[in-house]
Amino acid sequence: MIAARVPSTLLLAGLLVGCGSASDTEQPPTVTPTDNVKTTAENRDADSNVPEAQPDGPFRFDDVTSAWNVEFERMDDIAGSHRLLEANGGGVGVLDYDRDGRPDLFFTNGCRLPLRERTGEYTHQLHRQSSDGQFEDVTDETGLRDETYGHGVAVGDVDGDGFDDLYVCAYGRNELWLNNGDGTFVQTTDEAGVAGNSWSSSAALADLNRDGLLDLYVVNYVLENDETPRLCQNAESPDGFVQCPPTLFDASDDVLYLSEGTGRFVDATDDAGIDGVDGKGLGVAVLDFDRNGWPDVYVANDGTPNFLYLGEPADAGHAPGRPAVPRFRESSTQVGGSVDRDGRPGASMGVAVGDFDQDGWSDLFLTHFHLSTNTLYRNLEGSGFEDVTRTTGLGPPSRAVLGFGTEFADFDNDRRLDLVVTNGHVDDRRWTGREPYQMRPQVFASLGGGRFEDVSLASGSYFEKAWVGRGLALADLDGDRRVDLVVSHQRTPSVALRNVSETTGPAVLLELVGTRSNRSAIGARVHVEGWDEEFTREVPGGASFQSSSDRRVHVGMGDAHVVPRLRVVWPSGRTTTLDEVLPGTYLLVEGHRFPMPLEPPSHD
Amino acid sequence: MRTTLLVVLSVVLSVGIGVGTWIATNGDSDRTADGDDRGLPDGVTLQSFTAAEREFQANYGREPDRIDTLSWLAERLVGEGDAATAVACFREIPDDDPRYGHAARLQEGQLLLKLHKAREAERSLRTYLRLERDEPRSPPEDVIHALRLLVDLCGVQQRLEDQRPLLGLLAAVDAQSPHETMIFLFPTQHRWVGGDARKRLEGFLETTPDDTNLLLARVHYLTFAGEFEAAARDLESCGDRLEPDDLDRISAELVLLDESGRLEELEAAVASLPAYTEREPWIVTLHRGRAAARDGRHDEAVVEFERLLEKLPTHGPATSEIAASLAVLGRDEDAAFARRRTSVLGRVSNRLTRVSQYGEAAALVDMAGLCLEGDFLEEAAALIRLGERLGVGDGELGSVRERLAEKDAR
Repeated sequence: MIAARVPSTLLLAGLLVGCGSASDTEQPPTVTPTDNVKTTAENRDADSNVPEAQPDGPFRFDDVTSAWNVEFERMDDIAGSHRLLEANGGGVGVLDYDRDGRPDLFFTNGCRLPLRERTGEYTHQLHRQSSDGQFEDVTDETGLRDETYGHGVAVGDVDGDGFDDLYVCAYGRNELWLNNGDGTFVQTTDEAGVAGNSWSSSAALADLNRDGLLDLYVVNYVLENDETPRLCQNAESPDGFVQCPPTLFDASDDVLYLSEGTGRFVDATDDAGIDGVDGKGLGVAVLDFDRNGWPDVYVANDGTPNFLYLGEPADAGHAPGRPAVPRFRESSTQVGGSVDRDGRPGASMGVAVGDFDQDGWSDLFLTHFHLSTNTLYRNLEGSGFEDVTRTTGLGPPSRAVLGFGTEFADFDNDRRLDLVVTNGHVDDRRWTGREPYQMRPQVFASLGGGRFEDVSLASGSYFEKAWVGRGLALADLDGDRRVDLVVSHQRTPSVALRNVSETTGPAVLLELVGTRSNRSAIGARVHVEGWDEEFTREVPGGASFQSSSDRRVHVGMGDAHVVPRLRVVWPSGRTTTLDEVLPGTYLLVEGHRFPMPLEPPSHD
Repeated sequence: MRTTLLVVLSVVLSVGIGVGTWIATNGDSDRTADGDDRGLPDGVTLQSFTAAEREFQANYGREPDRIDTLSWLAERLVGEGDAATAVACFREIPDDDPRYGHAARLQEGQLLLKLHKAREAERSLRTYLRLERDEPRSPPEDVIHALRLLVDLCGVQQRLEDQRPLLGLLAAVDAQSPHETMIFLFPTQHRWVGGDARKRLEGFLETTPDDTNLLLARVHYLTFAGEFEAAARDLESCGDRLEPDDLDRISAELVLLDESGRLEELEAAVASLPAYTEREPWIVTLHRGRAAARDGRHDEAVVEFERLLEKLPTHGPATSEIAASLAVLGRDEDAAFARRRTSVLGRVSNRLTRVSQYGEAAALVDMAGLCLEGDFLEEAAALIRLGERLGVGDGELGSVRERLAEKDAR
């Protein structure tokens, strides 16, 4: 007699990350929204491991959201059913839409899902900074009101009239808003031919074919249906569901639009060689990484190898009236930046670009998922990228968090690029006891030599608390030439953080205006020369996550009283050299020998 | 299938892998009948024993011997949820009992897993497999079930090297599930730090907190969760009970030092590694290679990475890192090949869940096609076989079959 077998209750599927015994369901569950996210005042991450604040570090950021009246909370329609659509949140764009010298803020908003259930009550918001440093919602008077399930925003002077325009990425139809220059915007999406109809996350405006006009690269994520979203069952979850991983969705291809200079764009994706497959794009940065004179496009893909499209000369024999089509060759496998050193693609979200090691070449930093490290790729002088995360000190602190928006910036003006990351999970899995939902943001001080130190807990109360962070943008909001931050959240309002760090010295803030180059000077590169360490600051297209930072070039001076030399390489290839530059804010127009000093009004 | 299974079993078990060898040869596995001793197992009362005797007699129409009664009682206890007492009963059944011996070991193994006694469970399951190898008595599905339990147990403990031959056995008899196929073909492409696995490991540790295998496994989990101090504590707690050159301990230490950024200590640890052995953990060999590459000894690095790739052609880190070293050595074609494979493995990663949990035909066919792009021909063939088992039609598999045949012909 064979003894009856005890049925095994062991699930081999438990060997995979967090997947449990997921299966699809045909219909959304009837669950009530789990609106148990703590308010700002009570904010702590789910773990009992609440850190102690540390003595003051090199940086200090004051939360001035209320003081400056920056009031925006995104509507994500988080309905408790764990739809993937709810994961990405929004972005923030910095622009001086009215050219009064004070940066203004644009926030993308969500709406009810499915889209057919939109109520008209939610819209993107433009917040104008007034002379007293306060921000005011001017959405209605600017005509920017529209309701989409918005994600990223790209800022740039698309029509070259001197006023920044906006491109908003969304689930469904994207939007192009042209700034009329009179305090109003007009939507020209259809005329421009840039609506798309995908799930677009981030976008970059950049002159991809070097014709002096801003083109558009739109990063698309995955194919998903807002009417019947894919849901994954999990018996251990309190409501029976978890968010499906993006691996279960098909990729949605990116799109490259070339400006015709008439307000219209042409889809040149195929002709330009944008042929990456399996791209589940979330972040993008455009820069001439290899310095062959042609912009390159780096796309951060979620769970699939990243793309590095190296730009090559445009087709010189293009038809009259048609834009020259640049050629791109997807080269990440050959030159690096595709996967981490273990050969695994990361769940890549945000992209920061900057010369972190002061070798004169802009490097890449990518944010990744919980229980994996963020990745820092060092630019090998244009010949490729190498994963150097392990030597920088950035790996270990990133394992316990899930990163989104990120930027390099010199927060204390010591000439070295520091790093900031906003974190937050994509799904509320606090019931596991091991996965926090809200997570602390992080700021890392550069120690020199390519190493960083986590100084988050010594940088102000905002960094001591946990949030569901998404977009992040840099800006000198108050005109003091210290780099401030704006962060968009899910579940809680966005925040503005004023940099009140005791700096090691002054800084130069340089606003670049192209003439032969695109007016926004996206793609410009500033070489800082004459000190022992020479370094580079560039104006990328895209970067961070779903956000668009202040394009002005910030150069911390350390203990120097003058910058020996700033050599500006314009996207057109022209060069302007500025010698003996004193601290200050300047406007530099391409082709002009001297910058014009600006004194933007400060708050104090 | 039975004959094939037995042949392959005998090969695998005669070689023995890692701790499995220790358990199979040193485990408390030889039990012989000890006569008509009325001494009862722990937890069994005379009353329950005699009741079992009566039940057996009523059911089978004959008087039971002691082993009959123990088996009957154990099964009743299983049904009542008293796993511990059931195990005690099964343990009294000797291996060589022709009626119940083999099944008792399998039952023990399953119950010990329920009781979170990992090491004992593994011992029982490996004994069962050894017994079946020597004298087949069970239906093949029972043997496969035992293999699966061991695969799972090794996986929870992140013993990928021990898991691999077990999975290979399942592959040899075409019994791999989609998930098993994925972890067999692409073990390094999975992220092994899932909440379920860690929870189960913690369950095992609660029962046997001093088990060094389990503690070392937790070092890995804690390391990848960024809990470096806790990982270091676990590592230290193993210290006295393991030899300094215990490679499993070294493996966990290398990972901890690397991931926590203690790079000088890592270099020192790698420099003091014992000589290479064929059966060392993959992680140790990987770190040999990485250290060599960092020192600029790329020819040596290539040797180390090739060692790994011979054992596991889809070893992601080795594939990625050998590409870099080959490029430095000017072996451009080889480097390009390795880079191509790195890209393929990256894209394969993205389809694992769809095949593993959903058996999606499209993802499986994609994956097979990707393997062909990377010249992973055996892997492509395995995926095609999986597709056939899952009933994927010729219309979908046909083209990858043809492409495989063309490549094979070359």
